[in-house]
Amino acid sequence: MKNNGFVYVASKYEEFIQAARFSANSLRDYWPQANITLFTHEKWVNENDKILFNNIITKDVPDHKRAKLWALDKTPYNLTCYIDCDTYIIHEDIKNIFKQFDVKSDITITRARRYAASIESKFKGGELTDHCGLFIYNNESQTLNFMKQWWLLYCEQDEGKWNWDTDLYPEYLRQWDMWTYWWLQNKTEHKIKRSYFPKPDARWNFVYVYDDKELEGTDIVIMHQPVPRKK
Amino acid sequence: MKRTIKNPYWGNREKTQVICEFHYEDGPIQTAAITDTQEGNPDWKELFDIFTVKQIDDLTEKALAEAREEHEKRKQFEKDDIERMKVDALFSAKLEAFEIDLVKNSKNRELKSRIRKAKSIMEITAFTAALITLEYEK
Repeated sequence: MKNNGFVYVASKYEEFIQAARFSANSLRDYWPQANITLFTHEKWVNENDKILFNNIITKDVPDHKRAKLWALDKTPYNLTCYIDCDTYIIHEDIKNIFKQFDVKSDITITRARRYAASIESKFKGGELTDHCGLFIYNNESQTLNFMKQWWLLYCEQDEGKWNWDTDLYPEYLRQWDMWTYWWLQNKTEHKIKRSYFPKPDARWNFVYVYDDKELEGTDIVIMHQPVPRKK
Repeated sequence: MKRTIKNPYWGNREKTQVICEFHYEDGPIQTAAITDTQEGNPDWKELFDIFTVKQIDDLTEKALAEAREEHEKRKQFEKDDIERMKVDALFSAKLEAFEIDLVKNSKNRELKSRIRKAKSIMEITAFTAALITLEYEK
């Protein structure tokens, strides 16, 4: 497989495959040669998808809201940019995204903004500081193991099999994969070396509620906004 | 049954009524409104044996501040909901525009980008129509 590429994961809700197409189409506009892998369900794949995505994986993809975590360690690339489906590319600097990866680390990620979080990200036991909607990671064994653990622990978390000290870490964290990531990075031997996108990192993952000042006068490369779910 | 009076605040501007909580020994809490009577209300007397007028003033101010904060929060939530609905509708319209083959398969990066960046449904409609027209003229 190619050296680097993007991974989209669309599962559980059909809105996500629609959003993944929207995002990948924008990626192709600005970088026609980009390698793009889609993990999704066979029943959702159409003929156009086979042109838009140069690799589609459907075998064993779980029908799960966090199938993303299942897919991460199955990346075909040496260097992978995982990108949420609810994004779109609006700048040609996307071609430079893999240059933002810090080779001294295993994962390069953007900072989460507390003011823009869906939940209170700061709690007695710590703070969720990394935005898990877009990141670049290598395929070293420790990194792929981390991704695997992320999926396994999230499943336990989601099924209520993993419980924690709710005085330090509130129960409302349960539904979030950012919490699982935080735990693995801060409390386990599975942790990997993390770096951040160079400042202004917000341009690489600009969540629609971010303040424009975060861009420090630069252009947004990747816009991030939640997919509206049909009732 | 034994009970204690807690969290009193004035129920009117004239300070002739106090709203408070009766905490009963076996657990129940009851909200009560107390006013004095010509005969002398023992609850009123008990209340002022425990609290001074200044303390009730302060607790009233605190209760009002909390109510104001709660009201502001509720207003903000409603505003956020409306904003979120608008953003959702806008994004849904963009997704729909890109479900059209002529739009999706177009090589006109400029107009496609304008549809993606559009800030209103009208902009989406206008740029989508412009793009389709150009595609037909090819």
